[in-house]
Amino acid sequence: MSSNQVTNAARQINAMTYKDGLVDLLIGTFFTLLALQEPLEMQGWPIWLSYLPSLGAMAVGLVIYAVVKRKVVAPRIGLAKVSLKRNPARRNIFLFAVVLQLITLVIFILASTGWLSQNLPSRPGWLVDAFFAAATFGFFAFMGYTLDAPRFYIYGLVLAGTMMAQVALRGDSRLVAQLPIIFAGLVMVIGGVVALTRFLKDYPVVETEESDE
Amino acid sequence: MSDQGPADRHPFIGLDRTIHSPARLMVMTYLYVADSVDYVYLTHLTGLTWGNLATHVGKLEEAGYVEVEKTFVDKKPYSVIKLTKQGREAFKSYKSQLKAVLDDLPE
Repeated sequence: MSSNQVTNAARQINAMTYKDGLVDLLIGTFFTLLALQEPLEMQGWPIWLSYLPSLGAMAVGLVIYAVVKRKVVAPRIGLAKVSLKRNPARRNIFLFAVVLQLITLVIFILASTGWLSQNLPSRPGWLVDAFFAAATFGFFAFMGYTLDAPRFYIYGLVLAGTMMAQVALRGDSRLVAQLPIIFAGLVMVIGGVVALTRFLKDYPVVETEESDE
Repeated sequence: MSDQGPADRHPFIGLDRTIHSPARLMVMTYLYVADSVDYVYLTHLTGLTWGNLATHVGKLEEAGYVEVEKTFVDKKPYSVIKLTKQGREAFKSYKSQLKAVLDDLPE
């Protein structure tokens, strides 16, 4: 083992944890079903209820994730419990996500109170979307780097592209504008399926040699 | 005549030998950044065989640096290893000792 590997112990553990592609499947399914929100709202569903399919799928997905992790992944690769306190990489991702959420909240408040239109009347319409697209790419790229999972860079690019494509399609049908997000979600689902297939092939079930003494 | 002990004459001699073995250093390093890790996970991370890993974990356990929780999952024995408070302190001390010695060397 090289000294570089020793210093990257936390990164190696993170990379092992995300090798199975389950997180990709979870996030991909969420984004794909998020595209249902607009059609449901158009059908007269209240906004909060129109998010039910994607949030519901996320909740069910989390349960399935835990079961698959325990029944399928653990016998092949084992399990590690890692807290934010011990693992700087995960802590940084968490902090990045919190900062992003706070910025989103501030921009949402500025936009909904009319501050943005009063103080920046000549701003291009896509400015806020471009900011979120760049932030989303930054977040996924950061995840890709800290988790040693290059496929997250692609997800970041696809999602950022999706956001800008939705801006371009705003003039068209509201349903057509959902196509990019379906595309982004499916890219992640496919990425997850590929990662899971490779994982199952590369890691057969380990015959443990533990005695029950 | 000097009455210095061996550890004073050369700092390497004072390094914790329980940790200093390459295999145990690997195990301690991974446990340092995780809350707990099971045997299967550790064999993948370290590349050690099951028996070899068990021997090294046993030595770390004897020294009080790790604790092994043995349970049963689906009627099969299942062991989870975690660093004890003593082990974490020992690893921190080992790390700073080694760093101090190596940092003194010229490029």
